[in-house]
Amino acid sequence: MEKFRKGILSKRNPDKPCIAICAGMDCLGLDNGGILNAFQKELEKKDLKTKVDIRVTGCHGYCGKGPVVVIYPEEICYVEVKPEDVPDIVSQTVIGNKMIDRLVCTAPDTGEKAVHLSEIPFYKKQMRHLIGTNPKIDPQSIDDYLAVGGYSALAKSLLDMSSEEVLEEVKKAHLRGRGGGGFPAGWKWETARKAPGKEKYVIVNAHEGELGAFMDRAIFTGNPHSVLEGLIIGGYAVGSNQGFIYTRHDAPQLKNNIDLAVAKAEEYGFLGENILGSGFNFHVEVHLDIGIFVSGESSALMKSIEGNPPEPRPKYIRTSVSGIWEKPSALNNVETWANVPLIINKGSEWYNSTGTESSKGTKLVSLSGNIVNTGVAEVPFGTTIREIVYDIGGGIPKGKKLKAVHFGGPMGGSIPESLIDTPLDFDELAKLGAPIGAGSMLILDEDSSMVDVTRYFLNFLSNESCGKCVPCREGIRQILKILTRMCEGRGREGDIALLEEIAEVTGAASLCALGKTAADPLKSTLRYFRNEYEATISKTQGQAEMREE
Amino acid sequence: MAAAHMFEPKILGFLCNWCCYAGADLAGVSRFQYPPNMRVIRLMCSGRVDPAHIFRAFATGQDAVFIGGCHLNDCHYVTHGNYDALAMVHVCKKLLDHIGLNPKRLRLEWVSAGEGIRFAGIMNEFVPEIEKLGPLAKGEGIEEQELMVKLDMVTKLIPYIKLVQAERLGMPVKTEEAYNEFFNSEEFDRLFNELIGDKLIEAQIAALLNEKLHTAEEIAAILGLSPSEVSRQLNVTARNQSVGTGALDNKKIDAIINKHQGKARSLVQVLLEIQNANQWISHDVLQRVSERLDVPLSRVMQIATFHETFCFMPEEGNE
Repeated sequence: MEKFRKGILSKRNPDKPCIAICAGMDCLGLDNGGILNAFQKELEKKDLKTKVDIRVTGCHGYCGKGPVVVIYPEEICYVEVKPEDVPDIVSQTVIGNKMIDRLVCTAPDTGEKAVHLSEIPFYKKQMRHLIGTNPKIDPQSIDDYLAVGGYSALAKSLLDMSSEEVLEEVKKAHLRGRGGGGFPAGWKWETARKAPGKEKYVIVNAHEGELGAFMDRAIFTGNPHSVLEGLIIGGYAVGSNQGFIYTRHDAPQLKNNIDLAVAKAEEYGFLGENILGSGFNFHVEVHLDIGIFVSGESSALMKSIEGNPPEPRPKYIRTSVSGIWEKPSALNNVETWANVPLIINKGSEWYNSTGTESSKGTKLVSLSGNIVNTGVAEVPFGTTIREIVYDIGGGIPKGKKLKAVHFGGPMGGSIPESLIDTPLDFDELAKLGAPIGAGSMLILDEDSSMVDVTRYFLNFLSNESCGKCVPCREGIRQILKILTRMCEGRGREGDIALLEEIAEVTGAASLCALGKTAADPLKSTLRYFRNEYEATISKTQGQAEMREE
Repeated sequence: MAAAHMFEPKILGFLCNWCCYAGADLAGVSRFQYPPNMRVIRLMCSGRVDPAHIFRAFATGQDAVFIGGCHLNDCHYVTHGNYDALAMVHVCKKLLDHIGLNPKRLRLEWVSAGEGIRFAGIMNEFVPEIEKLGPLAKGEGIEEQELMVKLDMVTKLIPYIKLVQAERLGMPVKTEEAYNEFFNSEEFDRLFNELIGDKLIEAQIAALLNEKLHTAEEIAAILGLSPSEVSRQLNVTARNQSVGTGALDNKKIDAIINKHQGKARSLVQVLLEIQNANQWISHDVLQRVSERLDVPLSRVMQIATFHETFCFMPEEGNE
């Protein structure tokens, strides 16, 4: 295997120039096809086709400044590239080794220019274990992944470790599920491993239905093999021979890359019977489904893999004991699986060296809303929210003030500006009523109305509630009704108390996580921005009194 | 031999449990003589009889259908199901007439539990009447093949017809006079032609065109309509897109299903691909998918209607 890797590496000349064009979701929308065409034509014209490689890669993370083009080996990074810029890039940078000033990333406040990838402020503060290799990998090429050391963790676990040792390593690494709950992945795997029955399943949840979340897509589209490798190792540790990958119908690019990755992995012998001569068999099936919000919930997701409608069930028995076809099923999201090869390769001690007491490793966050640099960033746990927003995110545009940061999409919570020195940590943030969720961060500036934001989320949830249980279906509807009334300036005395009561009942009586946490944004905004709610009501009443006079 | 020429009509009877069935029972117990041509299905109420039952009966070779219920206003249920039966029979007679069958082959009578002699009397009158009409199709002088096609066409339209009946042909008062007056009025004829008659013609044209290409004149000649009427219908049909592109052919569906190895759990994937290929999914397609994947149609419907992504009308998909 190592020989094979060297074979691939020896064919590659590290000094050979290579142009890496980002083809993440955002850049695709910004005509990167045109850029690619322009590069191809230009290289042909200059007769450089054999001397320069072009690589279409997954998301680089810097979505706000896309399309991004990186020129290797110097790692020169150009942002907001247009097809017209291509001839200049080829003639000046690739051949002439000169920078083009207008395409270099400029810091808005200092005017400082950052030429290389690692110098750009957006990247400088990050710790890019998972997503850092994206610019070096063409997601459709397994060789690219092997060249950066891919599948070595698989070889290590299958050939040098017993399945117990693999499980023990993941447990010791304190890897917590990145999908929202933060449940320790090692425990989950152990439960599934110990559960009775021969047939067991491991599942990748690539649903990512959270509003404003696009991290999983960035990893999975950009580097599908890392997730696949994690899944195979997980299958080995759990004692499962069948894996499922759940994808959504609205992400065709993702599905293509995964299908290709699975086919390639089979061809290279990383999937199938007797993997790498270890005697371990593992197969993967890619499931394409219509991703409505609730199908991201684990039991609903398993139902839809079975071919049923995605309705959640009460989880008195965990899915890791009784999941797909009532067989033990270990489900984790994309980011969690992508962490596994890292842990195996570098060991749990190395993994534990980053992060906080209770949350280890790094976390991908997606930045959106009123922020200068939107995109996907990877930071170690323990980084403060301030660092993420101001250093990486570049602060709030137009010099406005930060009002709040909202975590975890429609079922998450907000923290006010005063608390942004809190470190990024599962438990710390949960204590503040703003659980990290899958890691989407919505930044709100001083002009945003918290009541309106909450109403927006509840409107989304009321559309997405599956309707199976009454507390969720009716509770959300009633909350939304009251909030809409308040936003329209028809708030009444006693509305806040009523909202709190409905929120409590909805949370306590609903079947699944959707209903249980639907009122969370309401609760957290009531906690920190109660005055705004009160203001909408008193304003209305003031107006009413004036009319009476 | 005389017996070879004797035509023994087959009659299917739907009798309500409380009145007509008990009446038939009494007729038997009292040894009233009547011809034994009717096979009886007992129902809880004559209102349970669906147009689909009637057309199914004719499609399976019954020469006549008899429905027996309680006298009006004597229904044993607060819903007064026998009024529903009355309205339904009126519409069905009209439909039978439309496809060239004698409406007399469908008969509705009220017989109470005590009227054994009345039941025997009705049978003694009904059976000879059907004998005189002759066997189904032959008696009317139409080809059996043609009749089957027409029955099949009507059966497919039944859900629509029931909807029309509920929405547009509802009656404000429940009296026999009001019902008979309305269903024999010109108003009803007009509504029927507008709402159901046109649909029937449209379905016939679609069936003809799916068979092979015809010109408007040919269609007019076959269906006995004026050419202008046919071209008007063709315009409506083309707007509704139900000719040609309406149904995905079975080969394509099968190809998609085979791609997923006919696994039942690939249901959503199969439906998605069909929708991508055709923009919308017709009921026939769902039925085909259900058969090929061996998933009950109810389950296919459950999944297909659960997601907003799927559309079942061509217009939505063409937007």
